[in-house]
Amino acid sequence: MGTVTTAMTTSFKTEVPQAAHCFAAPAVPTGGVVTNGSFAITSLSSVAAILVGMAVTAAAGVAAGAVVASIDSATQITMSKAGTSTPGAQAITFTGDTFNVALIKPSPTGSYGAATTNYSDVTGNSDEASGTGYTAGGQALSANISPQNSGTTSFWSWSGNPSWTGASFSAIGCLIYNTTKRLGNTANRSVSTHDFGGTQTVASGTFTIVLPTNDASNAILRIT
Amino acid sequence: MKFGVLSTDGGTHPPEKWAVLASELLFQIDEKVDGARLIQAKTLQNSIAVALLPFFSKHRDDEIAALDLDGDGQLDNDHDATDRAETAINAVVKLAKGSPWAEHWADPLVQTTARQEMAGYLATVAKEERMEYCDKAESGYSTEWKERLMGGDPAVLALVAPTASVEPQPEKA
Repeated sequence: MGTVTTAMTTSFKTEVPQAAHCFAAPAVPTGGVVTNGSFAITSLSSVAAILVGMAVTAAAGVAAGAVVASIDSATQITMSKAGTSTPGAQAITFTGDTFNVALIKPSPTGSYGAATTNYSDVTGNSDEASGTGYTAGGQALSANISPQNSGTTSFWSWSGNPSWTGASFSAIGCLIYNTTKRLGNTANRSVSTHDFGGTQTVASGTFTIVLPTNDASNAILRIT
Repeated sequence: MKFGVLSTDGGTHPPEKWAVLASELLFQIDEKVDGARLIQAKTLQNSIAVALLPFFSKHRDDEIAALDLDGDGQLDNDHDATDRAETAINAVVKLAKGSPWAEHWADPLVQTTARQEMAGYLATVAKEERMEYCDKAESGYSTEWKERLMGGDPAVLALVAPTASVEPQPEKA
């Protein structure tokens, strides 16, 4: 019988210096102009919080799957795909990677911890939790927030606690993973595994994972 | 990196459960603490739970009332627990005075973190009541809303995001 150990995965630690995970908070500048056939978005109110590689979403005229290819000036970026229409000035949302949390069933076949590299490690062993109210893959974690500092420590965590309602299932831990393809052709790369300290069961109710306190001692990501 | 887990059969979490978990996460007692200091710490932690309980109760009641009035409409309302989180932590700071941790709770950085965390807990309370509403409502919109929430739609997540300040904190002296 396998186990779940609380750990930041080794593969994640290797990938962070490669910029393989984008934790940036959503940026929503206003006044952006998308033009049919053009790769540029012009007249943005600000590009201060935009990173290359962020997804361009929630805007008319933006092709599905477009990401920021370059930042050209204080008001312009270039997308990876051309605009599909010319809707006029609008607010445009730029987002970082999407991270999911998936639950691991009791008495798993595999063991999950520092050596876990991908969500497929869990599904390959048929170790994902299942039941009413739970959808395979888990759920997306809340929109990312900005990092904070305390002394010389920088720290960061997701801003919301994942919940399942109308739920009936059991779990002994979870895997946080990055669904976005940012490194090679691989989606669903692991971030961390977490042991719940025993089997947690819910019956026709609510199941909530309360993330660690977002401070310099407990936040999920800390750089000292 | 301590995760909390709440599990409640038959519905959403009662405010007592939230108050106890919040007290344990906001005021964590090191396992090496023992003797008289352990009793003092547990006493303060329990007092924190008691102090936070009415805030969790009121927040849940307010959300339920709003959903009863106009469920689908409430799903699209921005959630804001900033003021309630601040009042709650002010209450904790007040009761910590005179305890061995008065100085800890007087620290502005500790208070800011606690406010952010409390806002997060309250946001989760509201989110779960909305999800519960979606589970029970017979409206296509509520079904779609919950699917978008679980799928990570930024627009829906933003509606139930914590709203206490997450501005970068000043360096500690």
